[in-house]
Amino acid sequence: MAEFTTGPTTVFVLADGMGSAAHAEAGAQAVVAAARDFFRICSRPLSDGPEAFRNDLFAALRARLGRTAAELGVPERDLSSTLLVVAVDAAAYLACHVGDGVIGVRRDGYAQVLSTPTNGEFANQTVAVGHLQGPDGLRLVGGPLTGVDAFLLMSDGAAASLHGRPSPEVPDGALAPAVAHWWNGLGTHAPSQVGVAVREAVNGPIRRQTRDDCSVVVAARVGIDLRKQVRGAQLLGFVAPSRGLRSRRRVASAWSRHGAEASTLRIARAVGLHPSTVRRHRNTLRALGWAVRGT
Amino acid sequence: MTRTNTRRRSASADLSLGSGDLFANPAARLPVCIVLDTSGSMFGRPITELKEALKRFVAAVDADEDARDSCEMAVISAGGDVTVHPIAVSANGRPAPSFDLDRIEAAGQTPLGEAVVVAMSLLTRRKAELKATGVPYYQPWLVIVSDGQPTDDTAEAEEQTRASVRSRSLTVIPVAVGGDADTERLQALAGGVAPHMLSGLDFGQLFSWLSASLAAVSRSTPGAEPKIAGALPWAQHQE
Repeated sequence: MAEFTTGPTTVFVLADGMGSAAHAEAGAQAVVAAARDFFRICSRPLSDGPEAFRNDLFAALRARLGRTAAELGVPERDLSSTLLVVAVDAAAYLACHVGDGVIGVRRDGYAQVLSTPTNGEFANQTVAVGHLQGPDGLRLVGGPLTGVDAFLLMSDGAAASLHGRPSPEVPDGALAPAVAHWWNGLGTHAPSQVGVAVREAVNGPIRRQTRDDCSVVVAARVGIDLRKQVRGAQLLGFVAPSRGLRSRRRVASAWSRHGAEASTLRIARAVGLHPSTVRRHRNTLRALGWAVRGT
Repeated sequence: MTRTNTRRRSASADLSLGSGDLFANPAARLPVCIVLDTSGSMFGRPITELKEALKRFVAAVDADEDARDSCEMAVISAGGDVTVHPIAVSANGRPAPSFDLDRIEAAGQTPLGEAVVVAMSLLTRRKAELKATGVPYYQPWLVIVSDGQPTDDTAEAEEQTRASVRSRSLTVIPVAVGGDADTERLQALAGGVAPHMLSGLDFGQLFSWLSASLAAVSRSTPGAEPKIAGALPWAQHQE
């Protein structure tokens, strides 16, 4: 798992080594490193579209796997790993997906599945980066950032709880309500607090539903620069121009203490802000799903 | 001035998850058909030993949490006529409906061809149902146990199993019981998979291995080979 910012682009990467591969962890590390190195040297804007990155990204992944296999003296199949990548800059996003796991997105306020697992016919079959015969094996999705303000990357183990199975009515499956909970939480709580919540869920009810490894990356536009990975939380954010996050957190915290029925004036006095500022934050909190009254 | 450590050790109340915030997706299913030769040649001790081993097998699957949630099994007896005996293990702590194994009797000819066709039909239909409802499934298993030779036309069964084995859409485990089993025809019926020779009437070891293997498959994760219990220690391949 990795997060980094290079120039205007922030990249989130999640790789899951396959249990059958003798050196799965090395394989996962190799594809993460390959994705990192690729985006660090790639100067192309994401608005060029997914196809502009296909050949070079595939070449970078396979080259790195080949080098790692040679260094370890093992066949490439021993390095089998899946790969989930989301790259974001000021104007566009790009997602790359190989194998199982799920990538989710919030678009215009709605949680959606951006990329579904690539499994074989049977439950214990999937595709690894090293299995790809050519660049067409990469699933690439991208587009303008308009209306998009959050992403989620999850491994197959976590998907057992966070991704509803596809059905004729919902062909791509749905994201669990917990995902929107965490996205909203990034707008009102410190990342470390949301990280604790995610970690508790992953180590608790999510892990109990599966025998597979569980990894989750939660990212949302929160208005501040979160270049530093929050320790132990696997919780990351990306940069977007927005002001007043700290004061909004104070307001949210005050409403939590005083109750949703507390008036705007009372909250303003409690946090030492002008009522108009509190009203502005109140409207944002409501948009994030908070049921605050505040007159 | 007293400083208060306000760092919280657990998630704040409004970040904790409530019921309904996570999905409880259905477990991946493992459809299994066990075709048993219950012809007249199995009369007496063979069928008695077989039924006892079957009872222990069902209990073993039921006792394993993963296998119980995954395995969907049916026994198809081929003796005189072909009968399907669905096996339901317990679900969600509820006791399983009783499966009267004593109804299985040894008599008549050996319509193994028809039994295998019925098994293939059951497995194919079940895969389609699971796919239509979005429930994942493992590669189905077909186990064929026989002590003699088929007495009906097996061409259709052979064609179906051969195609499934070639396309890797089915795991076939043929088991020959006793020295009179026609292993060549059993191999053809099994899509070309060489039969395992059961030593004596040790059905107990056979089904003990089968229950452990099904449990291993039920626990396997994407990309991980199921750790099958041993290499059929109770038998040897006939080359």
